[in-house]
Amino acid sequence: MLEVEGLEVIYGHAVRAIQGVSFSIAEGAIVGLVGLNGAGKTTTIRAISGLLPTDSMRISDGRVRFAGRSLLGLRPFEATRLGIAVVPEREKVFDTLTVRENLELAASSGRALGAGRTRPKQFDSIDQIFNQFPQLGRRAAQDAVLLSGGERQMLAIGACLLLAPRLLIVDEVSLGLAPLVRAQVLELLSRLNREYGLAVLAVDQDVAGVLSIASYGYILENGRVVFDGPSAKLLQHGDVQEFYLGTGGGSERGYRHVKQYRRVRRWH
Amino acid sequence: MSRRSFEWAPASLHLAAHHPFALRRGWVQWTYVLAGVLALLAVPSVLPPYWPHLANLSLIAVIGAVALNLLTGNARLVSLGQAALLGVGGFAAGLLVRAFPGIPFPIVLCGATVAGLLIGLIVALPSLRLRVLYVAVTTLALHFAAVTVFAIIQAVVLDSSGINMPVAAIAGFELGSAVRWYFVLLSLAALTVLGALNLLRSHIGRRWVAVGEHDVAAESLGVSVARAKLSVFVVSSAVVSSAGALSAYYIGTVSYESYNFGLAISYLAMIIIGGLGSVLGSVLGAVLITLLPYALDQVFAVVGLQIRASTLAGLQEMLFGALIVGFLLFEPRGLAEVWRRVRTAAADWPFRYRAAQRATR
Repeated sequence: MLEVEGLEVIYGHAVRAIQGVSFSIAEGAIVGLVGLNGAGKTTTIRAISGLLPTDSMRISDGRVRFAGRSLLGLRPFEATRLGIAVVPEREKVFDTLTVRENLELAASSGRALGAGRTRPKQFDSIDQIFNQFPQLGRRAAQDAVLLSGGERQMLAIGACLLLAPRLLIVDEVSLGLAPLVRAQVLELLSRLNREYGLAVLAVDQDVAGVLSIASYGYILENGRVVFDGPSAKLLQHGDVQEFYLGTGGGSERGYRHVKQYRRVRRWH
Repeated sequence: MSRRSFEWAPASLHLAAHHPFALRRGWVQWTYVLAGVLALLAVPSVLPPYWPHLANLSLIAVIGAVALNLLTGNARLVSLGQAALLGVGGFAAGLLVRAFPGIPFPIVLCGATVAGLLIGLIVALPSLRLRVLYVAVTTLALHFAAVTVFAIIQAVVLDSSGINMPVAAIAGFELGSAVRWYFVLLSLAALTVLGALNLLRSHIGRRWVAVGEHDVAAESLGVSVARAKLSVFVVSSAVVSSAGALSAYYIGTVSYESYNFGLAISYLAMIIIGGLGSVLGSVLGAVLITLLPYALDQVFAVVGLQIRASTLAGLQEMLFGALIVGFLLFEPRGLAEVWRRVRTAAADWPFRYRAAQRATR
């Protein structure tokens, strides 16, 4: 459904932030895109969703196609119209609006974008979202500023569902969430995928968490995909275990040591 | 969504949980609204003769401030072009009256609104790609450009004198006195307030708020940021411009000197002191800032101090500045927040706090 080929992103005419990333997401699949801070995960997503110009970055090479159409040069709302919904990393809900108003905003722009006419809609009313997220329903009349981190993530995902997405991209699934809440959110994404066939691109630093729900994973490092494969296989991979899961190896290593070592081992 | 409330509290508390002062909630609130409307209608007959005039000035300011607050408070586009837009309305009305003597007042008002709409559209275009501070700079440019154009018009076309406006009349009903103006302005201000409240509750207003808060998040939710910014600029400018035309008719003259930068700042003061992003705040701020000079005058008169007019003007400006700084420091969300606190305190009495799960607007 989504194919990214040889994507290159340049920041400020000089820095190549993404250096030839390729990956694809099949219809109705959960795919994980993982990596450490600064690996280029968010930049990749912003390139897909048309948000790059706001960061003075641009795509210098590569192809991004969604359902047979090129996404290059599209404005964010045009990507949304095609069926890509993005839950941003930060600033995902509108604090001065209530929970219900946040959802109403999404519902109205979903209608304006023609969602539901061009593709099936799993959720076409706010009450359905509240059924799906009872916790939000209880807080419907509150300003979103009062929500906890997990509730914000749920609200942002709920708002995206009203846009009738075919692909839901979640940037930083677990950022700032307690382990229990993180598991809840991951389970939620997995359930949406199972029950509604929604394709999900889960982006996170928590490799183990994301790969536990994803069928396929890509590991990004310094703007390149360094590993990819079915989740089960990736989780078995020695380097992944050592560098991302911290389970392989044996002796404990400092972050700097691992970083140096990894560079030596990987590129030589 | 049904309200699941106070499972842990006695049933009698259910009533207390509702806001006693909130509008649209039941007969108690309707009584408050009715009382408020009656009080406003009674202003001319109850208060001394000078008051309708002050009320009129406040009402014109209310229209302008509510419109500015949509732009600056809700969509968070700081506008320094308020005086210029008021001037656009004033001059549009003045020039229309001069070009077509005897042209009816409502048509002039519509003409001024359209003029503001067009100017708003032009100023909005560069701001589509700009953020807060840069929008302030473009509207600052609007201010100086507009005032220069007004001065040139006045010097070249009008022989350096301002335009004297005729007495306004609506379908033969002449607005010859402050009291007559009061009822017209009251209904126009009420229309503006209700319009703004409803716009903010509609999907259009929500988009303005969303774009003001996080334009990136709004855009990824499918909101067209450009369209939202354009629409808020156009709506706000059109209403401000109509307020400018009203004020021109009410004052009776149009002259470029009255549209100075201080006017733009005093409108910003209204919405900051009243509460950014709050319609109620715009109303409270507009009334407070308009009445402040007269109140100060009264205070000095009562105290018995003889103060020269120039000193008084200086004192006013100082008080202005102190008020803005004070509100920014101690009550950044303005008078509207003070009112909200009073309301919640009354609703929750005798308790001091409400559990976070129960908090509503």
